Amino acid sequence: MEDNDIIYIERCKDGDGEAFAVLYDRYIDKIYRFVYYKVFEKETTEDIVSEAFYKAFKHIVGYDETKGSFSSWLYRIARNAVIDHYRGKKETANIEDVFESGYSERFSEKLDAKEIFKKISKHLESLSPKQREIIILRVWEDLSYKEIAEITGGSEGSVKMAFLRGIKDIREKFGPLALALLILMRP
Amino acid sequence: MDQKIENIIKELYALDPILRERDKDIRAFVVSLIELRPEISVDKNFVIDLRARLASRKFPVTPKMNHDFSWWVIRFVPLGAIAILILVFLPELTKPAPYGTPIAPSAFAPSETEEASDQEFFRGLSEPASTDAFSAPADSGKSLTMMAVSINSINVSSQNPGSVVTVGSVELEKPGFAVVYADKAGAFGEVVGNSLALPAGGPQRVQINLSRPMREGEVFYAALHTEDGDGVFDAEKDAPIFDAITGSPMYMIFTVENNSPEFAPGL
Repeated sequence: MEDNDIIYIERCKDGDGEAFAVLYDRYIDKIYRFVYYKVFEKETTEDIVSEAFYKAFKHIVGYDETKGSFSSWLYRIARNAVIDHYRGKKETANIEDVFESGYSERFSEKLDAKEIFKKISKHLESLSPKQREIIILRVWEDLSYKEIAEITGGSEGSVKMAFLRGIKDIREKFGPLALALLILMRP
Repeated sequence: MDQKIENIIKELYALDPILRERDKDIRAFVVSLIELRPEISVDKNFVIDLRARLASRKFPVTPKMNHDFSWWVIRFVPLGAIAILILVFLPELTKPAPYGTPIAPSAFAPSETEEASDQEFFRGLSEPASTDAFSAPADSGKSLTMMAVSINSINVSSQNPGSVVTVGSVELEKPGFAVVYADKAGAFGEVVGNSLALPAGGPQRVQINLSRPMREGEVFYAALHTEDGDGVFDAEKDAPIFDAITGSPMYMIFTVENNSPEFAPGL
């Protein structure tokens, strides 16, 4: 969370719409990437991101900074929006299923991301869903363990341990050479 | 990037000191993992469009803000209205009048012609405002101006060809209808469909069956109308709804395009 997020949040609570616009500009790219790394499909990502920001817009007046950072709150809304999206397609939706669901729905897109993901998916799919999500949030999104814990639930300690186990699992199964080869094979 | 790598490695070693024995290996691995991050290019048009759609929403305020807003409304809106009336009718008021001559009520009341013109508004509209009227300009940079708008709102995205329009979001201060108009040379044409009577509140997603199918490339308008209590839409009696602040009619233009999203988030 940026240091002065709280300033804009308080202004939002006073009805300052421009303050929300500042927060929107600050987080739209991050939330977009966060959702995209789960669903890997442009239109679905845009639908979910729209839904997430709409909910944030509606509920920011009720945001309580004592319960966690604004960015974690926003990520949590986006995470729940992903779950809700897939819940509409299945009787039960667990965030752990979303990764597989999203992967199977990926349409043909001329995006570097899809090709890359195909190559690295065997690495990430070997992890537990929780490890996978934590590694993506820590390594690709550069979030702190505290923020990841606020987003995914659980303690900071459990997040750290899951991260460690995930890293070790990938490394033991595939080793650094395999990852290096993947990088060299990138289009 | 270097600092990021160092931070992750330091964290790993703090969790499992044995990993230090393979420092070179671990570093190479962490670097590889970071470099494998897919590059995502966020569609800027989507970002601008979403910002504009959020801007068209009424921004929720805390109860304290509502109270303050009411204080200003109660005290200053009537004064402003009186000032406008005085300026408009001052020439009439300064005319000397014979003793005992009553003031014609029509001088202060809207004529039947004016009321009828509201009913004819959509039919005679020559240049309907596009949704750009409510959205930030494309080069608006980092700032966004949000207006206090009425509770009434309607949002609809592009539709797939077919006979059903899905209006993503309708909010109503009072019961009303969502009505779809065909386009007629850039103006509102005939009514091609309307929702059932909608309750006040929202947001609610609404589906409207049309009297004829939409074809790709066509343009339509989705507008809000009042409901006079009988539960049946009648263009003659159920007037268009206008924004309380801007006075603009509450409607949104949409196009018919193949592969439009089935689910319109309808912000």
